Amino acid sequence: MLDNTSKVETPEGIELPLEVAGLVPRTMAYFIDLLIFLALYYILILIAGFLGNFGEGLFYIIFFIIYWLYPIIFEVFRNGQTPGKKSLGIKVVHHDGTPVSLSSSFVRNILLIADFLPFFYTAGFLSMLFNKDFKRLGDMAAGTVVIYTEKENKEDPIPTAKPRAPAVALTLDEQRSVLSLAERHQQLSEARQQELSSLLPEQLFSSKTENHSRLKQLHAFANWLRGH
Amino acid sequence: MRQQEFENLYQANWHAFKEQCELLEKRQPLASNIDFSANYREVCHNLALAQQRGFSPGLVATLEKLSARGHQLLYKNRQSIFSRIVRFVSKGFPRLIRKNSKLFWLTSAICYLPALIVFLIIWADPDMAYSFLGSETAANLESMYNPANEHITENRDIDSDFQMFGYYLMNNISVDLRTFAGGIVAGIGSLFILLLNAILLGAASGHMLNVGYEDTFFTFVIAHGAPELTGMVVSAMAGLKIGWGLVAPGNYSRKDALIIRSKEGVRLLFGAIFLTALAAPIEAFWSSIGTIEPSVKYTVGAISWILVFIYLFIAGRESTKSEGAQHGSE
Repeated sequence: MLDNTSKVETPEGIELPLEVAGLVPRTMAYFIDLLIFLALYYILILIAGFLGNFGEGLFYIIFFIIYWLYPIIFEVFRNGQTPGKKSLGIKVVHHDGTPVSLSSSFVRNILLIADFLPFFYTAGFLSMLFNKDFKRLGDMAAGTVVIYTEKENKEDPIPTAKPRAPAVALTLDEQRSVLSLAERHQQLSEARQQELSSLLPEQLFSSKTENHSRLKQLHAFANWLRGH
Repeated sequence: MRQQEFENLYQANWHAFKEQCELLEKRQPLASNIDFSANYREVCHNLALAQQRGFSPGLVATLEKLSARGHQLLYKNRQSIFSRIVRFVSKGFPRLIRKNSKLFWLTSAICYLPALIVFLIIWADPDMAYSFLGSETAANLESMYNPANEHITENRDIDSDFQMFGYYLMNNISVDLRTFAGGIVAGIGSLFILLLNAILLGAASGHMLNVGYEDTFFTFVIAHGAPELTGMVVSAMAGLKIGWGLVAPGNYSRKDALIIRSKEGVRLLFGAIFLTALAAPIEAFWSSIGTIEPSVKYTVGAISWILVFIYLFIAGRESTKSEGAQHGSE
């Protein structure tokens, strides 16, 4: 399949899909974080202005912490998500799907300096465009990827119909297609469902059926496959 | 077993597991009789079965998401960050330096040899100072370390000390971070920043000696120079570590070598940040005091250098007996 899923095998012997996030959501997340950073920066300047030399020293330290540690603290202690990433529904994980560690977060965020070169993140953009998992230099060195957070999938039950065994034996892939199509009956238009059902083997359906009753038959098969 | 039966059989488990995940995600403890990892393995097993038996994609996706949540929670580092920092500073970092002692000496040589050469050149030919420093920097240095200046003999107030402390901390650690990041360009960036600073150091020392301000200059830099220059060398080490991973990846692919060396490199960087952070208060609150006898300052400076090297080469050593036992837990 042509999509942005990257599979990782876990020690438990299962494959977990990581849905890798691309250039656009990551850039948008970056700009949201930049706005938050600028807001904090101006607040800091206002406060430090009242405190004279001492305030200036304090300003340097807090500025430094916000500038360098803002993404790191959020990524490590807030589930791989800076506020910007959270609002876009993306997060940072290791490429084996485990949560990002302090040292990996450090590497990927310090290397933003290298990604910035020669001007405004050119190296990072190019690296992301040419990498299968949209990794910038920092991600390559840290072994991290930015993925979409797991969305709760809506439990969309298969429409109930009287279960009926299909006339011909279906391969595992075909069974899966039938079930998948039935599960998505609320997300797809009727016409599209009919179009997709025409991809299934012709012998499956009784010969003279109209397109409309085809879908009904399909739901009957799905119920049978599911084991009602 | 058909999908419906399968769901009926395990639905309750999945629901319970999901609730456990929710609790853990909110950092709340689970009841003591719950074995989270066993439940997680069970969900993984269910997922494998569902995939293998061709159950509906909707069910497979639900189980995949549940497993992914469990995976994130199980493989999270649960040690407290504070104890990790204490252990790293007291043992981990000096051990790391000793493990990479060749690289440490090499990087030190890359820093101090050019500094020495530039120093000697300027000492032999004072006019060369202006080629290395530029006339503006040379004039700045002269006005800063002129013994006749009143800010040398008068103590700064505590507010300005703190102001400078914040400035040194931010500026010097930023240099460390940049030096490290420069490593990804095959180490060239790190070498460049290190050499630039080394030449500046050598040129400034030589020039100060020539104009006769050596006491004010050296008494200022010697004490905090120990952790600060060592921190600079270590941050360049960290950068060279990643750079070398790309140039000579050994038995790994370049992709994997980069990740492995970065892991060690970033630990060196943590150490460099620690040393640099240590230098900032010394620079702001001790080095800046101009009223102390030079002999006292030189003694304290020498002690500072000795302490840094004792720390790097002695701290965290174990007696040979317990070393084998400790090794596994590293």
